[in-house]
Amino acid sequence: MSDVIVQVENAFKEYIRGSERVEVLKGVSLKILRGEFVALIGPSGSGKTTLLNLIAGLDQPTRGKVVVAGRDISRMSESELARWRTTAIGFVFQFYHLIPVLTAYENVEMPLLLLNMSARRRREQTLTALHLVGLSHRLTHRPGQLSGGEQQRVGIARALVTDPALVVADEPTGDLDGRKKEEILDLLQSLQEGLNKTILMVTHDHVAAARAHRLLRISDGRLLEEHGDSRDEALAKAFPDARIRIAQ
Amino acid sequence: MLLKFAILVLKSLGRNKLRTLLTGLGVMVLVSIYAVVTNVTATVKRKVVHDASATKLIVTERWTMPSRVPWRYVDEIRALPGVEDWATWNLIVGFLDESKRRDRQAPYIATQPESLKSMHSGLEKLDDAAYEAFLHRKDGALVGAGLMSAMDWKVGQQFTIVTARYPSVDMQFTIVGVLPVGDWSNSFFCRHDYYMEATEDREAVNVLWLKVSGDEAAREIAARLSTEYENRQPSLKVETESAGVARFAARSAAVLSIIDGVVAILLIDMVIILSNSISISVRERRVEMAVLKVLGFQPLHITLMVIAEAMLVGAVAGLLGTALTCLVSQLTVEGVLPPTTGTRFLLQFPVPWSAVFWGILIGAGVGLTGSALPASSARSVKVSDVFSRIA
Repeated sequence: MSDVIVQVENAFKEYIRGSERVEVLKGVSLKILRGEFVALIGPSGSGKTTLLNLIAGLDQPTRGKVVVAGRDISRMSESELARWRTTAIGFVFQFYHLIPVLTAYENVEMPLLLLNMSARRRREQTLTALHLVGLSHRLTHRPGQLSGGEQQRVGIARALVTDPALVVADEPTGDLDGRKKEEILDLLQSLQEGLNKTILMVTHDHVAAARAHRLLRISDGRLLEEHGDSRDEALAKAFPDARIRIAQ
Repeated sequence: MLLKFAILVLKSLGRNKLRTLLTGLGVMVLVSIYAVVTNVTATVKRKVVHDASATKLIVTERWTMPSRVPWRYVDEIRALPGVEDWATWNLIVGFLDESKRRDRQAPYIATQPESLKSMHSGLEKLDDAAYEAFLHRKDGALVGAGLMSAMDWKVGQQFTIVTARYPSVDMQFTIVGVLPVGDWSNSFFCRHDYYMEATEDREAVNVLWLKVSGDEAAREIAARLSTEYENRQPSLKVETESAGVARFAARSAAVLSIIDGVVAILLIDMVIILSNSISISVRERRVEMAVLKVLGFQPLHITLMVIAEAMLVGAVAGLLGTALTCLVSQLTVEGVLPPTTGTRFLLQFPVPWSAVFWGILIGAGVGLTGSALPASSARSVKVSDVFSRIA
């Protein structure tokens, strides 16, 4: 059990929209092991992002339990969740969401400001994270001076800088074209392999999904299969029209 | 961390420089107006409460405006026991040049040179050489620093006051000195004997001032004069300077209340300007606030950031607004800047440098109040809502 980093047990999530009660997740259960690269796939509105938000501690289930890195986060207060997220979760966004007035270095350093850490150590960790994503030469550039791919690299460095147990990525290649997309996927894969990071990635893209060790398919708020199907079988079911060669 | 936080706040303010500048300017102008207006009311109130003397008596004609106290009364009254010093005033308003423009009008006072320093508070610091010259030159005038600067006059120069209505003659003076900076910056004194000679107005004065030995003597003399001159023609009114000023203040209380009301509206206006600007900024940065929350920033951090931005804008605007006002005020009072129609009143009510401290505090306070609602909105940004809208 010590290798299980994410455990979701019978999680439900409901929203009230006007007078209507919308059930987005309908009893989802899953486990993710430490060091796994998992892709969460499914059609729009299926509940992918909602599930990702629950695991990342950005939202809480209406019912059920979410345990991440050994801590039950389903009942934490907003402040506790914020503190917990700083060190436990690294978040990579589809649209990068860097602070436009800060440099690449300052953007990456931002989460460390919340930790009790010396300025020297903060600098070391920031430079290391930027080095890992290959942006040591872009420290003083602002997001507007970087390409989309470079901005996403900064976003990944920001997600890694606190050395979190889990990196969650919401469509990390959704805003990138072919070559840049491959670069970002290569980077995520190398981080997972080299640093043994656990990565949970939401994606619509079969190319991105193909990089994952395991695919979780979600539809209408339910996980379709967690066990049984191989990755290739899951890919074929999720993207039946995509003619892809999956690198073994 | 605080330093980094401050840098983030500063950089956030710099993202829309024009808006920050315009907001700051709005607050700056309002803080300046606030500083000037509150300084006027505070000065008037201070003069009523503190500066007016209870041992100085003002003697005027009871029923007529402008007051005309016969000169024969002056001779009788100044000889009363208990009267230590005296002076008369003939108050005149004339044009400083032939243009007869409204902004080229100045009040001046004809009085006895011997008692100039002792009977006029604020003139104790008058330069001895100037005072000596005033004693010895009949057409001499001691002119306020602001007036000197406005007219570009020099000591030794002659000038002519063009009659406004009364007296019906133009009068020529020679400048023998400059009055100390303060209450008299925008007026000038001339000698009463010269006034009488030039105008032939030898029969009466507008005001008779008496300095008496103490409170008790003041009450006795006031009572005696009231009784003795009640049934004479013209009859007189006597009151202490403090009572006279208090009466004036009571009459002007309504005006001061209105001014205080305007000041309160100014403050509310400042809060609205800042609140609106910060609200727009927060609305534009909802995603950024959500990202900060994702990174681990607490709602309190977000609140403090928004409040810090607003307080910084307010405090800097307050600092610059009041500093600029004080600078203009000091330069005007000291005669470096010529007074204009807009700044002339600063000569009577110079804004002290201590106002800068209050300007900063008021600016920061306005920032704090104005940012309360936007900060509350920012702290309650729900991350999942923000990103679901983007997706």
